[in-house]
Amino acid sequence: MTETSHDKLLPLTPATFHILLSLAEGVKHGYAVKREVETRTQGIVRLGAGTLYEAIQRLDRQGLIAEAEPPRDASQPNSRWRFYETTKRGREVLKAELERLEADVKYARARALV
Amino acid sequence: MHRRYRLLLLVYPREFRTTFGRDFCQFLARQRSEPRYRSVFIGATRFWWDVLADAVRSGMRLRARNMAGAWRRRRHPPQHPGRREGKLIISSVLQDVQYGMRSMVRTPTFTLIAIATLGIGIGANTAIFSVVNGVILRPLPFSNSHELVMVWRLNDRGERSVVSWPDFADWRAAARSFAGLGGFIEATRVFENDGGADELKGTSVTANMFSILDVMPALGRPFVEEEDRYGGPRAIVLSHGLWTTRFGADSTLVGRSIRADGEAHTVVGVMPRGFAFPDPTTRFWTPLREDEILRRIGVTSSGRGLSFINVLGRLDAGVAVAEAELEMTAVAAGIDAAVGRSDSTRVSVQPRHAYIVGDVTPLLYTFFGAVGLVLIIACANVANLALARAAGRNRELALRAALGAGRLRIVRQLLTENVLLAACGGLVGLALAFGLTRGLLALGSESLPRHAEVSLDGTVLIFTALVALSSGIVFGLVPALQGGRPDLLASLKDGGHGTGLSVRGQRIQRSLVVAQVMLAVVLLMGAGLLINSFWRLTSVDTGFEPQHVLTARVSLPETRYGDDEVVLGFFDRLIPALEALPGVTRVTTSYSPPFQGSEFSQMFEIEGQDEVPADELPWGRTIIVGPGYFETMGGTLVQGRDLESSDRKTAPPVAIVNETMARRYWPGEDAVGKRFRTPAGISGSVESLEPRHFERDWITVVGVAADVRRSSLAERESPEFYRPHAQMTWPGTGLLLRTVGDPMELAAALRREVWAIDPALPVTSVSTMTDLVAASVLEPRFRTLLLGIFAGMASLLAMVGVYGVMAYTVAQQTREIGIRIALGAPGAAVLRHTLARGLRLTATGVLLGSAGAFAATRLLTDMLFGVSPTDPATYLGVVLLLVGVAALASFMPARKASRIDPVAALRSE
Repeated sequence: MTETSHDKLLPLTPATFHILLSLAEGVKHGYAVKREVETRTQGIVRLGAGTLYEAIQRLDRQGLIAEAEPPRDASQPNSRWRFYETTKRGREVLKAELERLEADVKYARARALV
Repeated sequence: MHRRYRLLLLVYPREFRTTFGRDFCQFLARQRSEPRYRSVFIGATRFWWDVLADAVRSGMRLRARNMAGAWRRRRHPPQHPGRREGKLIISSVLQDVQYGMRSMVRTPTFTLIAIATLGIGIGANTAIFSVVNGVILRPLPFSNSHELVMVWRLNDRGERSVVSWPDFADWRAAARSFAGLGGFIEATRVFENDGGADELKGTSVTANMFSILDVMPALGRPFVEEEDRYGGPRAIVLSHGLWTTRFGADSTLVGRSIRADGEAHTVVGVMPRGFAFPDPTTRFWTPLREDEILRRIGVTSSGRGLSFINVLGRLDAGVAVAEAELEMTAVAAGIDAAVGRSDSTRVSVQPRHAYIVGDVTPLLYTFFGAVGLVLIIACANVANLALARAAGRNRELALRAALGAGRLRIVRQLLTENVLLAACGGLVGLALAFGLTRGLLALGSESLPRHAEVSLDGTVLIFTALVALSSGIVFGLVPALQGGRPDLLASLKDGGHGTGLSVRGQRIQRSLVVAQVMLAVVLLMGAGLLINSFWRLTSVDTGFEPQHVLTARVSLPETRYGDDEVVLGFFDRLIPALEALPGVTRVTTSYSPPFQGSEFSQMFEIEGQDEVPADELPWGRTIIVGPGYFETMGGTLVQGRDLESSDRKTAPPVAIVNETMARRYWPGEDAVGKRFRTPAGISGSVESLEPRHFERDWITVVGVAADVRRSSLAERESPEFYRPHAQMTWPGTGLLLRTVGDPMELAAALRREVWAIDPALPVTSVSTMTDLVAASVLEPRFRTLLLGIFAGMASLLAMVGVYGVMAYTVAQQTREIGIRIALGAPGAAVLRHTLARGLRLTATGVLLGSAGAFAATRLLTDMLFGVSPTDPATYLGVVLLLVGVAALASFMPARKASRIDPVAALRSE
């Protein structure tokens, strides 16, 4: 796995951004990510299975997320899902992206567009 | 259960499958049970659509990424040797593609015909699919639109109907299944401008409507609670379109006051561009206020019998439509008990999507099925062509096989060529679809809801790609399988000639033609029935003379024309002024001229007949007309006299009844001189006004008129009575002018005369009566035309098929026929023999097709008028037509066969 500088990964695609954001809050499996993103964005971002796992594979390879132990308190005891969490590097990239977005919003706000 | 999902995984590279296969399937299983996919048919379609679109997109991305990886590895040679095999496959595919392109160029006629045929088939499919996609499959343009539902009261005939104000208020207070429940009704307002006035269409909505739809104004605010209360401040929200065209997109307009219907309204907001509720023709919104509506309908108090509100709700998250319906039925039962209503109210909750597109769904799927058949026929044609071409290449293929190409390799190469052809056909189809979709929308905009949302988007492109690919595989498979097993020895021994098709190949070819004819018969039967039915519909006698009649509407605003005498005074000035215009012979008014869409009914009671309970009283359509109505419209008075200007308010009330009413309520008697009466007040299209408040005066029948068609040509006769405008004054009315020449030439003069009396009056719906009648058959015309075009395409393609096979057979048998002629067979016998072969094929197809049509045309039952789905005349006509055309298609090759010169035929071998 090669270490690329964070800037090369920005801007993140919507799918990547939301997966990173969702997993930064805690360990989840794929479908849980989809539900969380869909509720949070009020149905605007709908992740399909293929899109989601394609992004997960890519993020995993880039070292931004990693497979994690299933949480103990999962409602289904012997869950058969793969669980993921955001890595340290993933958090850094997410932070860089959020700062980038914030700068854009600030710019717009300064010109009274928002 | 998961097996179907496993199949989908094949889209992805192996590595992805092993890592994510299980999660992927679990994901889809969970997704399938989400509420938005719950409804039986739409839900499943939408689910598979979403999933397939996603799989194709992500699969292509993954594969592309792997491919790019493979290229990189090629440039930096791999450490392990096992990769070479993969490289070989890629390079051999490229080789196939190159080879395929070369053979396409080598046989340009074949290539062009194949591409054009496929292009037509794929183009028609893409066009129809883009309509199906935009109208049916795509969710409504509101967030979580599956939660939006219409809530109806079911009337005693089980039809969905609007709701009364008190019921609506009680529903709102009691319902628990909804995040919000709102009401709306159509509202028109007159906006004055310099030198004239326009009547615009808007909608009155309850204050919570915008939050139910989850769309906020782009400028300003939505309505607030006190604005939809009794006597609240007058507010208005403008559509983006109205704001731009009429107010120059002035952003300081919000908060200011504008005049509508002569009253000041504060502009509180402007909706975002593209917001369309309940449909795109709505230009503004006003608060739905009970007092406002009652004033407009012309009644003083509203009861539970006066229904006018459309109810729209947003279901709480996770509440199913059926649960909400159950709850609402219980709520309604509670209300029934509280108000002592004897018959229980039933409630229907219907997804808004189904409400909007429900009526058009079967029609669109019928079209979709029809173009599907056209594509299959097109594919069969190309398969036949490809089969014949492959036969000519037997030797080439045999040679390649002899040089060591495996069977699979040859099949793959043929398949690649065909997929390549199909891809070209797909591109041509896409280009065609652009034009076709536009034409389709122009023809069908009256009949298609949401037509503004139709576009060639990503989904449509994926569909086209899939259709092209699968048709390439379908028509490519036939010759590929045939060509995949070349008879090596025979081909090479045959001295260099193409051997022609094997017995098996010829059998395939013939079966394809039979199938083509069969499908064409099914389509032709459908189209034939629709054409027959359309012809019957348009030759229905309207009962009046629509030629040379100009119609228009004027609405006199309540504020200035509140008094009946003022209204009548206006028309007393206008009508003589119009009649004085050169080219106008007679002018009259009618509240509901035929085919204009505005009409209302009243209950009535016949004098001297047994007392009937109030809710069993008969209903009749009330037509308010001015003097000389029958003369102007060219209607027939069977008995009695026309209504005249002497039938004033002070004179005894009179009416003319139609023949149906006369026959039904005074059977075997002379209706003239008989009397009936109606409830007091004008009740619009109110369903059941509280009865018993009848006018004290009986209305005397002074004439009997012949029945006319009023709202559609297909309608049945129902009781109608004509009342004089002077005795039943209504501030809005239609104007009818009988003219000598083209009625439209008088449109400008008509406006001028109205504005000469009152410059602030809008003159709307200016049209000729002939156009109105024609507009009423736009929808049947649309479907008849479309299905007719598809059937025409299908028959043409099928006939090309018959011709192709016969021509090929004759060419193949030149030598055999030559010998027979040399042995003394007369040309006529050869001709007859060949013709008979072509007709035998056609007859088999026609026979099978008739059986298929017998089953399929049942789907059209609801669209037919005066024709049964198994109408023998239509069947006979279609059979004769097809057999005739097939005879023509086989005649040319047959004649060629009969003229074969035996010497030349034998020498050529």
